Amino acid sequence: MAKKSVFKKLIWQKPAFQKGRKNPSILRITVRENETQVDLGYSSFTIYINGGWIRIHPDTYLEDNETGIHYKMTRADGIPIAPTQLHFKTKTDWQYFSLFFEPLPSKDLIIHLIEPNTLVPSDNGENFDFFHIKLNIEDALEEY
Amino acid sequence: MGINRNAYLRYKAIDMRLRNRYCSAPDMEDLIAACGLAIDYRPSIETIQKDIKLMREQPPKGFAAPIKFCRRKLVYEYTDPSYSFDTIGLNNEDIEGIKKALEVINSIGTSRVSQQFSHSMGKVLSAYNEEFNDPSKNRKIIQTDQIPLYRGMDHFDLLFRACSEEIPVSVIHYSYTKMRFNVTVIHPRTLKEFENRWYIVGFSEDHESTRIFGLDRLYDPVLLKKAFIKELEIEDLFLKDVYGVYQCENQKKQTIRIQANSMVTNYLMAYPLHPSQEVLKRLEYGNSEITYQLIPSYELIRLFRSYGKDIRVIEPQWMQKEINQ
Repeated sequence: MAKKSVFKKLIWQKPAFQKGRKNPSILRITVRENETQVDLGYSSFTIYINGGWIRIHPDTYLEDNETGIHYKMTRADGIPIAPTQLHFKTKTDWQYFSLFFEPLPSKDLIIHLIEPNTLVPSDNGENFDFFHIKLNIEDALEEY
Repeated sequence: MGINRNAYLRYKAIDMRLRNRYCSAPDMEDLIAACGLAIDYRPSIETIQKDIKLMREQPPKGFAAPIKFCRRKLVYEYTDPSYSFDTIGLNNEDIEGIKKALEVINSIGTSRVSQQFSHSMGKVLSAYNEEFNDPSKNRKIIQTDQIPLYRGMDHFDLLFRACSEEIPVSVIHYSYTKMRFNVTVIHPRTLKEFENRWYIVGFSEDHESTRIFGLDRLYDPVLLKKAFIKELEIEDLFLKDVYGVYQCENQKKQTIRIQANSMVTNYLMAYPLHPSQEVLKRLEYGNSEITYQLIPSYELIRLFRSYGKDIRVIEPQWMQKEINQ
């Protein structure tokens, strides 16, 4: 009888990427059998009144750099899905949030996190995009 | 009569061995082996003999266990096969002791520790209230600090498990001072409470040293399959030789000498700040010189400042300057 393979839950802390924002910072990516979780931390900007606001576009996705396959966002925790916004109260607030996507394959990958830019003109240039995030299996930690 | 936990475990082990119908009646060696398994070390023959003697005693001193020694076979057995140690009720002293302990737990509030503890104690307390509720005693006798639910409390059970089973944890940390997020792997060893706030002490891979983290600043801890790292000696510095939590940078354990007026001296003598506290001199009007052997901490400096002119730091010099600023 063929031995059933056990899917290892892999975690990358502070994964390296080529181009992307410093705020929010991409803190951790966890690849599980049924979903992929991306954890981000955001500190409110002093240039905005009371720190401004954040939200995530509902069509945000991960893209495999090699195959071009998209992995859709399925839910978000700690950040509202646009058009709803989370308004900060001060210029020193912070928010930890997680985005959940369809499961990535368990292999060495280079992925992009893309937040589309289709809601309103004011979203221009403010997207939470990260390009060429390296997920090498040998750099990963394994969840208990 | 109070019994300690090891003695209780031995009585239970003896009882279970005597009631085990799948084994032949035990001799002294069998009882020692059974007790050894229960308490993780081998008790002496004298200890087991004393245990059997006490178990045979009538309540409240003992448990009226019908243990008979068969001189022919050199084994022990119950003369009443239906006897079980588990059916022994608590005596009045035991019940009073448990009632007092439950009152203390009820007063402290179970939610300040963890959800699991709160849930378990909730069951015990409701059973207690049903059994012993006395409407004339509804007044709270003990008042302690009541802290509302705090951020990070939901991680308590997971971190407790990580500490006890020595499992590394991936955590997101937000620094209030640097105002930024970080992620690290902590190898947690101890949960520490200070002034109603909870902290975790352990080796942090990102900092490459043992650190202390407030639970309120941790997000989403995840247990990891990874070899565990511990720095026992450094850990001690966080737990034994410091008042509070956050040590002043680049400071080692040192003598801290203060002068306190008579009022503060009275407080400090009644409630020492640390086991190393030593009153060197008492002067004519009740003021004193007191020393501590501590790693200076921000909490200690804050405490000294809070006393204003009632406390004067004599040494170290840098602390004297810092407080007089």
